[in-house]
Amino acid sequence: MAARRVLIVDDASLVRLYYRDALERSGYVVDEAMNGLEALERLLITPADLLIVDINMPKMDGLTFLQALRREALPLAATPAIVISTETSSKDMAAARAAGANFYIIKPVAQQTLTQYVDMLCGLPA
Amino acid sequence: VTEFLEQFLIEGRELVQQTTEDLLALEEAPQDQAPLDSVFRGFHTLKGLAGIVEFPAMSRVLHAAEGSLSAVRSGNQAITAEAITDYLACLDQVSQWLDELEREDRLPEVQDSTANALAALFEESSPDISPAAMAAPATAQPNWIEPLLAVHPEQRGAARVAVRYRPDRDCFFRAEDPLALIAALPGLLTLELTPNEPWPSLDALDPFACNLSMTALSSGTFDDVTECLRSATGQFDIHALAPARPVTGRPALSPEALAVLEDQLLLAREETGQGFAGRLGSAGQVSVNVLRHAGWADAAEALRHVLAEGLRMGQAAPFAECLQKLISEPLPASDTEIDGPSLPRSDEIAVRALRVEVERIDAMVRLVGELTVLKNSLGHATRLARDGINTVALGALLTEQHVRLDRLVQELQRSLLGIRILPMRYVFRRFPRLVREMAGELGKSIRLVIEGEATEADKAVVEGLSEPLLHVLRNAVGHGVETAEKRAAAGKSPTATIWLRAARMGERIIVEVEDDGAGIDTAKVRAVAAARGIAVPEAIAAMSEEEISRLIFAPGLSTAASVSEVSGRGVGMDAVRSAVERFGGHVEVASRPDGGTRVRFEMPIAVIMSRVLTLEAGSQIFGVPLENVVETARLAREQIIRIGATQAVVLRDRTIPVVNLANALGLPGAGAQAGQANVVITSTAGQLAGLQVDRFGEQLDVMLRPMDGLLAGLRGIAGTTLLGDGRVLIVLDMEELLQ
Repeated sequence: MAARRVLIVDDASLVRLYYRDALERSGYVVDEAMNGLEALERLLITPADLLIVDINMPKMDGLTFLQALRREALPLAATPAIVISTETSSKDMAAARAAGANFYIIKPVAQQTLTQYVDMLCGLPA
Repeated sequence: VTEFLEQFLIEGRELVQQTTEDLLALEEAPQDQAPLDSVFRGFHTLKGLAGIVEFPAMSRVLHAAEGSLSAVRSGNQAITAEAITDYLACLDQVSQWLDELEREDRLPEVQDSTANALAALFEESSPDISPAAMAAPATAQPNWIEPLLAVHPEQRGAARVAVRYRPDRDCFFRAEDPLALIAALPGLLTLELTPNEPWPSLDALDPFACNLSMTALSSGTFDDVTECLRSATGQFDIHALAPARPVTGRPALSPEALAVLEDQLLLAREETGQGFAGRLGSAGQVSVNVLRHAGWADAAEALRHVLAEGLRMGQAAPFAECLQKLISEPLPASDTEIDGPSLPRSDEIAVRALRVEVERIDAMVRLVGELTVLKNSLGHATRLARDGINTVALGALLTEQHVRLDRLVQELQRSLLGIRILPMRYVFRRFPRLVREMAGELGKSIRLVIEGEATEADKAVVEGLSEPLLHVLRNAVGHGVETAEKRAAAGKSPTATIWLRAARMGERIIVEVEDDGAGIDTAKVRAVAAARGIAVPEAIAAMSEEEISRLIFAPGLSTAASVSEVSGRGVGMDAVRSAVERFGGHVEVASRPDGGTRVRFEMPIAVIMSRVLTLEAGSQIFGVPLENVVETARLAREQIIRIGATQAVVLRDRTIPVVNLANALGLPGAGAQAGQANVVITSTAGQLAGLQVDRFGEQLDVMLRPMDGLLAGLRGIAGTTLLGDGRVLIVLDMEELLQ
């Protein structure tokens, strides 16, 4: 099976590096985008199997990005997305879901936990 | 993550508490299945929690304990007092870890050796408890189960319990209906009927004798099945089946997978208009992936078809229903659990998180609504006053509004109090364990009988009674109750009894601690009181036995002959008394030589509202709790007579000491008013005392605020409240003031 492609959307380079490191070691191909706008552009060229999305980003924040993405045509619109954010309230989680997030993880997330969920959401055999 | 830990802390504490109680109940009735099941569930759930927050040491210890408990459950091991102590030790350790977590805000670092040592307590008693052994099918499976499973291979995955039911031959005569009973079995999957003896020829058949054996498989829980068959006790065997292995069924969905799937369900049902296909499509994609990841390939495939159809039709419902079914399907091969962890009972939620019924909140919302209406009409009255309406009409209007306001505020206060009401159980529940331990330390045999634990009072009162009760119980165990030998010598049963009772009496709650021990050694109290100079020897000699008993509440008196570990911690009954009096309660003691001691607490049910009488003294206004006021008297000045350094008045043949309030508080007096003296006669703990004041005021309902911060230690003041004109009203604590 071809390697799964994950797009990381986060404005902090350290965070992207941290996720990339974990995912590449588990055999994923990793793309990066610094905000929602860049992510949308990138996805139109190279579709991904899974998105990892931060909420607070300049230019286009994560939730606006997800709303825009879900309004695109299928299959792009149906790209699974995990939101990883420092916001911990259930209101934030509900807002993320309303925007179209499939799962919500609270920052900080351990690399092991991240790959565990990414494996699961990408449907890799356990 | 911190949110997890908080939840872990709350749930962990509740479980430890509940499981401790269940363990003690189990010790009382070792043959009972119910407490054993609860204990097992408690350990199991705690282990699960430890797994969620990734606390391996705790998981390790609880896993070992759970394994040992499951051996007890299967009847391979008896439950002993030592075993109970081990389980309690295990919970204690968990409790300490929870304390540490609360203090440090992070999971404690535990040495492997600590966890291993604790786990070893349980492992030596059940050698086959390694995870591998637990995953293996139960070796003790009776021989009738495998044939049953062999006949119904398709049920192997779903079956959790196997039942063999052999009705007594004469069961029909007891109006038992075996078939109806077993047909009602929860989650019944299959039923096999076999004759116990070969069927005789028809003419030899006894239709009134039951010749049937039934074996059945059920997907219900062990508890439910047992409960269902309760009426046929002794006629059936129930066996929890070892979980089917992945080869024969689907592996369990992990909690993480379930969490993700539940989120997809919510996402698919999300109703914001735009991006429907994207949301449903992604939720579907993720669900399919998660199922594949979990090894549920067939379910994933089925779901994918439903999803494609749903996307084509623009409907989320078919997908959501299908997913819902998959999630809530009885886990075909869940862990080693035999029945699911139960939720904490609704009335056992932690005290700090008060659970409030919706109706109560609704009632308050309604009241606030009415208050708002009243506020508006008050504004109307203000405008009328400004426009120069005549004062009589205005007065009538305001009076009417005042009456309405009075009623609303009263109702609001009552609703508020209702929210703060708790049963005494919150305090009582920790005592069985404590008494057991203290008794163990002292080698005494004690039975604790709790009555009226459902009696309710304000949260502050319930919590405020905790320490005093603990102290009194310690005394009862340490000093009140004799050793078994002494009891035997006195002709009593070797096991002592301590009663802990709560009851409501009007607006007060009565809590009693009574023991059938030796009673208070009044001779010793007299001796100690004399030696410590509590009172002059003549006074002590003149005291009745009852008064002597009451002396135990005097500061600095402790009758403990030996300072044992259990009691005698340097706080005496005087601390108990002052703790109780802070809440407007009081405590008394009754004792009979060799008959036991009874300590009786009397507390107000609610502490928030007080009715006070205002007084003026030294140009200041004070409040006295109305409960302390017996009467107000306007006396001729000469009636107040000087006796030594003090003053007194004779009222209806009783001599009552009188204190001039302004003088006592060091305030400038209002000057000697000729002729008249205003005296409030108060009663505290049965003692009458007069308070000479400048003027009597009015009766008020106030919400008393206790002094806090630096002022908290100020004696003689019960609290303060704001008056209508913005002045602060100091409410006096008569008991402290008159000392």
